[in-house]
Amino acid sequence: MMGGSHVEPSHRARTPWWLWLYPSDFRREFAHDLVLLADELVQDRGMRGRRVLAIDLLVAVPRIRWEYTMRSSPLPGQLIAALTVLAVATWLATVAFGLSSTGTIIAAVVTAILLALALAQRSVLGRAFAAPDQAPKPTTRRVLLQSWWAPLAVVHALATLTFGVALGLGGGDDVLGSVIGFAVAVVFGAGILAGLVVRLSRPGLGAAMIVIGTVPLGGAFWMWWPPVLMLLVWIGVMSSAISRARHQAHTVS
Amino acid sequence: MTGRKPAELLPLPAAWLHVLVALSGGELHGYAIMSEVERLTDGVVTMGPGTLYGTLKRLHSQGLVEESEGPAEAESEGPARRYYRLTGFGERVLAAETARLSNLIHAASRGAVPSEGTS
Repeated sequence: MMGGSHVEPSHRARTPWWLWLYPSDFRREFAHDLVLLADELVQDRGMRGRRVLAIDLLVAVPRIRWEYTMRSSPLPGQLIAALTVLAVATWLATVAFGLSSTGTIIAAVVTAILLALALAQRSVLGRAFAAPDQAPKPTTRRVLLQSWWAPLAVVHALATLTFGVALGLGGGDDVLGSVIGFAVAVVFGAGILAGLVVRLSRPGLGAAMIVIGTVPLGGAFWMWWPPVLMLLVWIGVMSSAISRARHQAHTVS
Repeated sequence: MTGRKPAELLPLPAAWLHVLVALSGGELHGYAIMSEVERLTDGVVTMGPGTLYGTLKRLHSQGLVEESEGPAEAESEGPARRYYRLTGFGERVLAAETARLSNLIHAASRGAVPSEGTS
């Protein structure tokens, strides 16, 4: 047997943070081995071991997550995962190439429509995976993991509404523009808030409303925070939808 | 896994090949596999935990490796560890990949020798 110093992970005060990056099924199966190997790697190789661990997280986690999503999710979940990757990649590329160009807005709208279509599809197909009435009550941790982004969505909605009101009050010479701006902002801002409520009974539709509702303010690239806020809400909505689809598939099977 | 041909899995991804070669000497646990791969590659390849166990999971799902009890003395030495070994199919796949690579290297070696009249 090849040597490595013996480290007992159960002596650890708590689970290392990086373990939570792995999919829950993978974590359940390999948590002990992953922690043991990581501890030995760092203990025996020092800084080089830490570097290997960091690179490993960057390379292995996305791949394993992708494989587990593709294997364990029903078709809608797979579509959502694929489109999420596409949307985030498109978004990041667009932001990198031109913050205030028209292309940015177009790309944002296109990705939002793609996501909305994926979510709508999940909403329709997702009925086949509806959890039975006797499904166990979700744990607090699960609820937090699924809805951490909801406060951000509320902030985004309020900011959009405030922006709309400011446009309406600001007036100026372009009355028609102000009225349209006001109407768009109010409809989309209210759409986010409505989406949060609708999501409780129609998850797919509610998620689509939230995603689309964030687009107008999220396209305001002359300020740093709206796009960031929008991206966070999108990631939250997507991860929550994937998590729910997988949970329902598990419950049914 | 009966009826499957080793050739269906070739060429093997580098990580698969590294782990299979490491396990060709007998059953090993995760840290030992990582160390053996590092030794075999002169320290060029160090597999992190996620890469290693992700690879082992894939190899297991393809029927190339399986878990084993480990040596009897292992239970008294330190923490509990999961041991892995090659399956019969895994051995055949490794042999097929090794033969394929040997042929490739042989062909490359012949190509590297300047033919008459070229220099």
